[in-house]
This record gives sequence, structure tokens and C-alpha cells, in this order.
Amino acid sequence: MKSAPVLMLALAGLAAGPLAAQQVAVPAFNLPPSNQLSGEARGVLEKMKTETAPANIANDVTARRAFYKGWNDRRLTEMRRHFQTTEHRENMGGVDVDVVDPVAGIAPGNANRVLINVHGGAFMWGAGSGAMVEAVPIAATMRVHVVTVDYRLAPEHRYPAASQDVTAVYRALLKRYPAANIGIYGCSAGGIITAQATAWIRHEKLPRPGAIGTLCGTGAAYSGDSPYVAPALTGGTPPPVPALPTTLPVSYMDGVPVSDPLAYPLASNEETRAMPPTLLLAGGRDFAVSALTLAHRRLAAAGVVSELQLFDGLPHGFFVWPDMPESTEAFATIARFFDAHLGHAKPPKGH
Amino acid sequence: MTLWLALVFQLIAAPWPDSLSPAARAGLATDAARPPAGPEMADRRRRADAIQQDIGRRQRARYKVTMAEATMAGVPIRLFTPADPSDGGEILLNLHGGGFVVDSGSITENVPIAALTRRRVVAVRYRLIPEQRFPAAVDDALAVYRALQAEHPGRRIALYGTSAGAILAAELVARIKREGLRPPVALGFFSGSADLSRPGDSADLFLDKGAAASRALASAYAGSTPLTDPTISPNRGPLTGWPPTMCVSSTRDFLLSATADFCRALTNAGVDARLTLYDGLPHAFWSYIEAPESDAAFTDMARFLRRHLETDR
Repeated sequence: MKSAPVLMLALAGLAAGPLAAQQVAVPAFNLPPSNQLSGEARGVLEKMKTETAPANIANDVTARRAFYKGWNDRRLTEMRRHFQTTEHRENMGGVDVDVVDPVAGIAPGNANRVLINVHGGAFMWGAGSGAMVEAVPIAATMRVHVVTVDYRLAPEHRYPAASQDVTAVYRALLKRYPAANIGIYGCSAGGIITAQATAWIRHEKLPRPGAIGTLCGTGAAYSGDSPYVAPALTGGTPPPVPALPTTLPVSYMDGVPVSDPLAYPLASNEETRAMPPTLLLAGGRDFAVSALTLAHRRLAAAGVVSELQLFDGLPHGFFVWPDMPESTEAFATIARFFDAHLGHAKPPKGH
Repeated sequence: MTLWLALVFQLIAAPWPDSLSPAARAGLATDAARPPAGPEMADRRRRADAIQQDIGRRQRARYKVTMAEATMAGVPIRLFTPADPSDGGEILLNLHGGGFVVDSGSITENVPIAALTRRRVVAVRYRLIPEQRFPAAVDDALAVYRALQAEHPGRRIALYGTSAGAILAAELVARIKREGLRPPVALGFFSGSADLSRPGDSADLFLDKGAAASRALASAYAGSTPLTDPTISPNRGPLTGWPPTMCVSSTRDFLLSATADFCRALTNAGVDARLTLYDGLPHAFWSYIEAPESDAAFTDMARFLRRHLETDR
């Protein structure tokens, strides 16, 4: 299907001159919703528009935490209409966690398995209902224990606080579960911390988890096309810069260089090679897509089992909205991936 | 419908990503600088063929692969033979890209694959539109597939195609399954679509005139067959027994959405399917850009195809 007009848009900048000027002025046009979306997803996209954060709280952490608390409470109400779970709070290795269990019971093959969830929320919020929004559907879909970590947040805390908290919970779970039976997953900031914590676990000389899911974010800086394209498609503003920062532009990561392999494990050959089987999953309009595609290829080149799944037409973290079949499919994909890659074995005697 | 239209932000200045190699940028510039084709279909086909011969000459010298023109089951083919072919009867079958209207891949998609897999490749020079419509090209591909099976009954055949060729390859697999023939051992689905009725976001984003252009081309190819018919859009039919599939695309590819969608459907159907994406590069870049990114794509494709040609399943 290659033809001259097809390529003209992408190549317009090239014919003009030097490499530094290889920018494409993209003309405005009307973009309909992806025709791959279900009718329900189109309804959810409309609902998303009514739930965006007001612009005037952009620099106010307290106000943003309050806004996203209410926002996540509403998502959790929607989740509970689809999924039945029980929860209780515990302390594991000095860190508070919520343990989520399916009302339908643990599946027979999952008796010796556990998943650790690392919630999203820009490193600054998401504890409580936000964590539950990510843990409830997976606990119910896979019928498995999910432990969601109430890790320390920015701006009060900085890297590597979350890596340390996840590792402390992991270390506590190792007393009850073989490492190969433990999975870790998270979306957005949670996807980044999942990759960072996996590297931190190795740094602490603990056995690596059986599999991880770095969803809508991974252990690398945002890169490539999607940080520019996605905001334009989802009501945001593309970054007004000719080149993206080489590190994550968040207070949590302030001052940490990209050369730090535990902070940016997918930029490090050694840490990439050491990763367990990894699932990367995102919506096609997610600003993190390009970073995920590169991480997936780097993992594959290093011989690590990895799987990339893209859901066209959907934005960052779309599966916190459960009222569409695309989210049901994402939950099933996450459950299938962990089921395929986690071990089943009972812990050895003496534990 | 207007309810669903979202006005895209005014202007995006999207630099090429840092990760693109200088050779890829030069290759894109070289391709953009090629003189446009004349107005006639014959001019477009001559231009596409000249590009094939030009890049193909350098590829053949580099990869030490010979090319022969022949016919098989009455269909014109190109046969590629590597310098040190592996023993055994395994063979690769390619369906080239070119929007169903020209041949923009029957050399450039195949020379590296023949060398890197150390296997012979048969490229089907199927009948094109507008002179012919669906299913003429699938008929041609099926005739060659049958002939290859008859030549060595039980031989392992891996199938791959780029762009229109990936669309055709998926249609051929569906046809082979319907006719009760032994399916190929693997499918290379390189920037394709298996549901021509749902091109998704990437057609709107990266195709001149967007989804309307995509629909026009699909309809020109389909003729009287509805785009939702599973014979032309196999993602709408049964996927049981589908061979292991490698899906490849890039993030400025107008078939990105369709490629990712089919790969997800295959995975959900329990098929061994895998998606690999190259950021910042345009549609089917490996077939016309000489660069490390294309080398990496061919290496990855060849590794997949070779593994399935060698493995008993």
C-alpha cells in the first residue's frame, strides 16, 4: 500500500534540508474515534472528557490529590459493579499493603501464587481507591491473591523510596511463596516502579520474580513519537520542546541520571538482560506507547520473553474504566500472561 | 458522527526521534527525492520496478543471493537462492507489497530473507488491480502454494508478506484452511490488515486523506466482495488452527492499528502471535530504506521464519 502521497506527510520535512530541521508541521484535521472501538468504549471516551482535572490545580499537589481521590473513588464504584472481592489491610516488611481476594475463591492452580500491584498516580497519589481500581479486576479475573503496596509518595519522598517499599513487601512474601510464583505489575507510574523495583530486587541479591507487567509505563524515559502525538489526540498539549528530556520529568526522579541502571533498567543492557518475562500493554493513544515498543524490542534482543499488546484508539491507563469490553480484554490478557509465566510449585518445606 | 469528532491540536512539531539512525534518515530522504511517477498506471509500475531493481542490485551483491524469473502453475514468480542453501525441502513463499496495484517488494522484501534464513524464497507476482479484483491475487498465490506442496509432499512452507502482501497472506491462510490443505508452518504478517472494514486510528493519522483513502483502496481491491466478508477480512472468521504469526509494524505506519488489532485477536484465540514495533518509522520501511533499522527488522523476521521452518510442531 506504499505510495507517494502516503509517505509525503512523514517525509515533508526531509526533502527540505538538514537533519536538525526534520520536523513535521502536522496540519489540524478532524480525527474520529478509532473504528476499532466498541460502542461502549465510545461512550467511555465521552465520559472521560467530563472527568478531566481542572487546569487551575496543575501546580497544587494537595488539590490534585483531593481531585484524584474522588476520581478514583468513582472508578472503584464502577469496578465493584463488575468484580466481587474482599480486602483487608496488613503490614508486610514494615510497609502497609491492601490484600485483595476474589469472592469466587482462589483458582486451584493459583493457590501458591501471588501478584504484587504497584498503583499509578504520577508518583504523587493513587493509594487507597486508586490501588484498589488496579487490584480488584485482576484478583477477580485471575482468581488470585493480589497485594497492592501503599508505597511512599512524592514530593515528600524521592527515588528509590518506592523501589525499597516494593522490595520490602516482596521480601516478606518470599517467606510464603517461591519467587517464581510471584508476579509484579503496575500501570503508569506503577509500570515504571515495577521495572525499577525488579532491578532493585536483583540489586538486593534476592531471586527474581516469575514475571512482571509494565503497563502504560516502563523502566525508561518517555521517548519517540508518542509523547508528542498522544497529547494532541487526547485533549492535552504536546511538549513545547524540540527534544524530549532524557530522564523522567517528575519530581520523584529529580537528579537521578539516566545512567543509573536501577532507576532506568530498560536503558541498561545488563538490567534488561536480567528481566523476567515481561508484559507491555497500552492504548494506542497513550503517550508511553513509543517507550514500550522500544523496551519490548530491547527485551527481545536480549533474549527475554516479552509480549506487547496495543489497544487502538484508547488513551493512557484506559483499563481503569471497566465499562467497556476492551478493559475486560486487557484484564484477561494480564491474567493469561501471568498464568502462562508464573510457577505453580508449593514452597519448599521449612518455610 | 460529529459528536465523536475530536479536533486535533492545531500543529504538532514532531522531530524525528533521536533513535533513528543517520542511514535511516538518509534512506528516507533518498526515497522522498525519487522523481514521481507519470500519470499512467504503466508509469507507476515502471517506477516501482526501477526502485526494486535499483535497491535489489545492491542487496544481491551484499547478501550473495541469486534471482531467477520463472513461472509456476502458470503464475510468474521470482526465485531467490542463497549462496549456501540449507539442505531439505523447506521453502519460503512471499507475497509482495505495492497496494495491490504495483510491485514494490518482490525483490527488496526477499533478498535479505533468503540469505538470513539460508532458504530459497519464491515470490509470487500475482495479478494486480485495477485489471483484476479479489480474489484473483489469492487464486494466484494458492496455485503456487499447491504447486510447492506437490513438488515435495509434506515439505515445510513458511509464508510472509508486507503491506498488501501481508493482507493477501492472511487471506491465503484463511483460504488454505477452508480448502482443507495443510497450512504453512508460520506466517510473517508484516504491516498488514486482516479486517479491511476497520482501519483504526493509524489510517486517519498517517494516510493522506485518512480513512476515506483507506476505504477507497480497500473497495477498489474488494470489488463486489463486502469488506466485512471473512474471505477478504479473515479476522472476522475462525482463527482456530492459525499458524504461529509474527506481526511487524512501525509507529508512523498507517497499518499500525490494523496490525496490532489482528495480533491481539490471534493471541486471544490462543495462537502463538507476537507484535514488534519500530518507533518513528513509516509504513513498510524495510522494503525501501537501506538502514540499520531495516537490517534489524530483516534479522528479526528471518529468525522467526527459520525457527519455524526448522522446528517440528
